[in-house]
Amino acid sequence: MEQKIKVLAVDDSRVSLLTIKRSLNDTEFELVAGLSRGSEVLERFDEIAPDLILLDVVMPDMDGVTLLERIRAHAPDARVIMVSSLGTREKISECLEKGAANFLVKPYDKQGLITALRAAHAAGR
Amino acid sequence: MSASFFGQHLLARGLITARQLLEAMELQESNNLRLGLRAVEAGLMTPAQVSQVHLMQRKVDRQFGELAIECGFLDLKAVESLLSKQRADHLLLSQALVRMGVFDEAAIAGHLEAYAQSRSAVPAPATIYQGLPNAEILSVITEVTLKMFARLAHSNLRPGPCHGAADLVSRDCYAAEQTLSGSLDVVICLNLSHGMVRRVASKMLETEIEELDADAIECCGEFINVVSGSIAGHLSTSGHQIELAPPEVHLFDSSPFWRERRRITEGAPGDPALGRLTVTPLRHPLEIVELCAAL
Repeated sequence: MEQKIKVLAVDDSRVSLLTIKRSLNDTEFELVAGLSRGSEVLERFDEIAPDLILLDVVMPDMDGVTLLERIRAHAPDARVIMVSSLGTREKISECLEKGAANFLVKPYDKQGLITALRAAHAAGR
Repeated sequence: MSASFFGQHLLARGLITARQLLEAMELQESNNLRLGLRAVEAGLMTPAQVSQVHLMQRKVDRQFGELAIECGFLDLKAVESLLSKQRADHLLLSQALVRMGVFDEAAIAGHLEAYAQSRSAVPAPATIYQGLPNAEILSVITEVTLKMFARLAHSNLRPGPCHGAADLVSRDCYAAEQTLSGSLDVVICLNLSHGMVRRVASKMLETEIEELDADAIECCGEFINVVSGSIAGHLSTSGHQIELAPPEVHLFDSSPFWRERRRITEGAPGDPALGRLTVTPLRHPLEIVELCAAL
């Protein structure tokens, strides 16, 4: 069986993590870890070794954009898709400038998520 | 500036990437030049005169062309000619995406139709805020909230006449609240009856929820988060820059939002803070929902 593409999701909402997990069922992607605290990400990044990262912009313990920068500093090739309910042009621009592969606006549907993951994965190969 | 609601619709469905959206918006911007810039390019006004008119526009709610004529910078014929050129050059996001080759005409027509259908499902909140301070912002907040109830909880609610906090109907409920800060400071709180919490959670988790467990409560947090983000996006079209705090959900009695306003809810006639808070019942045949906005 072909190995699945490993996805790490970082979101303080368990509901979002559950939704992501359910959306990835029967696809080429697998949610290998769902972290609710931004501060855990760098500690566990090498152990998880994700192919793709879904990263919430607004989290209580750490701003998602700051975490994006830290992830990119730690792993420059990391492909990060930012996720937020706040889809202003300024926010999207800021995230792309800081190296995000894409930006998903909540509420997104399953097709939107899968398409964004596929595009980010294809761009990194 | 909002990333255009049609743009967000396409983005959320994976039909375009964020980069394509930004490129399309840049293309729009380069075509949709403002009247002042067009007047400068045509050699009809100086940049200083344009700045002077912009300064005047901050004080009075009047069109650029109107004020430029009044100041003697332009005549009516010149304004009409500039406006006509502006209209002819105007590029919609859909047209920009076609010009970039992201979609062909047939595909974009289909996406526009689907977008129009998704928007027409929710009625505008009529005129319930007429005469109130911040009526326009309150209308945006209510319209977006109704849309999200329809989309995420499959519940069609109807806004009733708004009232003060002293007339709150629902105290045996959960309060889902979020602060929007920046050029506007707004706290939005949704009071949801237990039945409505179950409805929201059942739809979001795609499973029938009987018990109000931690996941069900958290669905309300995610729900208000999506509502607030969409409100912030709408408000950003009028130049507001807004950041979101993380959402919170509490039982009504332990809600920081309501604890802070206990004085008001217990009724303090003439309390100036009362003016900052608007409560709008969102009617449902079986459940109680109240939309509270402090701004």
